[in-house]
Amino acid sequence: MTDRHLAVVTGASSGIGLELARLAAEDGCDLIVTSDEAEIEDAARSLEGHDGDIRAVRADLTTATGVETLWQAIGDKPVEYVLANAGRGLGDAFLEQDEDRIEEVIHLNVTGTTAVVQRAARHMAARGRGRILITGSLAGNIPGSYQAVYNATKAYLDTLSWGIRNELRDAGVSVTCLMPRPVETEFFHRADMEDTPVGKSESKADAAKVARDGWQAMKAGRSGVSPGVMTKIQSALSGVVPDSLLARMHREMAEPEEPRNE
Amino acid sequence: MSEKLAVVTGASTGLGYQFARLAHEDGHALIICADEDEIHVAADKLRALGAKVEAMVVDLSGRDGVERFWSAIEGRDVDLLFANAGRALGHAFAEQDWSDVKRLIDLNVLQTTTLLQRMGRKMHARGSGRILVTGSIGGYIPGPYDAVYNATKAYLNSLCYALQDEWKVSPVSLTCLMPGPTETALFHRDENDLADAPIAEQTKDDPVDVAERGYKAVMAG
Repeated sequence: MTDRHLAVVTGASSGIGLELARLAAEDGCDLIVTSDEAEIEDAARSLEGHDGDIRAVRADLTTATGVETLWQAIGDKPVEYVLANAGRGLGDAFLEQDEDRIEEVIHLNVTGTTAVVQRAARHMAARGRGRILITGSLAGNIPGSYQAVYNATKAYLDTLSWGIRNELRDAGVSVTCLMPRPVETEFFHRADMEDTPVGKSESKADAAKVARDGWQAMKAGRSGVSPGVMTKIQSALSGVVPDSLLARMHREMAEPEEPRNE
Repeated sequence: MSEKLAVVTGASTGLGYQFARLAHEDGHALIICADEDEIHVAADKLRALGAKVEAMVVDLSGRDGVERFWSAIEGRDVDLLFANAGRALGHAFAEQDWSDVKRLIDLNVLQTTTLLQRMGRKMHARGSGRILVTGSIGGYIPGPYDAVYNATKAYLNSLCYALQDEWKVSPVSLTCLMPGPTETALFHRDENDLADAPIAEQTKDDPVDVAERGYKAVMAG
């Protein structure tokens, strides 16, 4: 029996998820890291060398089976931290997007995250303690032309996070929403957004720094965190500027340079 | 000249029924659907008002249902779509049954998105059309004890504003109706688990008024 805390990080093969897992490892946690890619094994190896045990679980959280696989790996071990980070973007005009890819984004960002967070909430409420971090996004405050479904999924996550935080407070469980601005990760490549202004921008936030802010906010049990000065400014703006104007500003960032052919 | 056609999802009661009634009064033939037999009661009431109605019982929370509904409207020239079908789910998030949560997401988020995309493509190809999505003021308020519902409405509000911008110079208009709590069956359906919530007893807006304001907004684009 160990007195180390167990942390579970989803979407941990790269980007913010990998950085969050690194912070958990450095903090001395046992770790279960998960992703739907084989790279999760390399990610897990890169996290070794600290006190805790690291275990990689390959699971596709867009499906109920994937969520079950992750929970089987957790078994009856008490979980202190769940970092629900797995998510995917999708660029291009809504009418040009592939229906199956839209469904995948919804099932990963919305359905999968909700399933993982609900399991975590039940488990932690029964224990009377635990902390949940949800990787939402500043995008949740901004209607996203040329990335409409993705931003809407983040609006879902931001809203869910704040709603259940209130519900779980008395059960000793905290829910923190990490709301970064665009971060330099694999995200833009995977979302077919390399030819957009935001995809090319050199000034995206650093994943390690965003993760650190998120980790600290979660450990402190804070409600939400928008890392960085620019993010705070954009976040404050999003509360006062009309949604129609925010959507137009988003177009400036996310519209592809050339119309794309199938 | 052929007659105008309006499609209304979730039309057995509440706002959906009112949208159907208003569209009929404005000269549209109707295709209406819901996941319950009461849609036929609604259809009979509308026919009594003189409406030309096709009614379908179809569960849009499943892909089969979406495909079946789509095959019924795919070949038609739809002038007006009310993407209104949606449910709520009360009680604490940690205690909600996962199958209910999943169904809520599939209905409110996934099927509305699919329908919007297919109808959006169809209307753009045709060069005209109007769409109203029933979002909610709840989308701007994190919703303890109905948390997933409010989050699904945040999704819909966000999606609508983005599409309004993408379709700015387009022949298709999109309107997002964001009602406050409205006196509909939403609060009283057993499966929504809201009947014992304080809001079920409070005074709410009249669905007739809310639908009329929504109808005016969608016709104004």
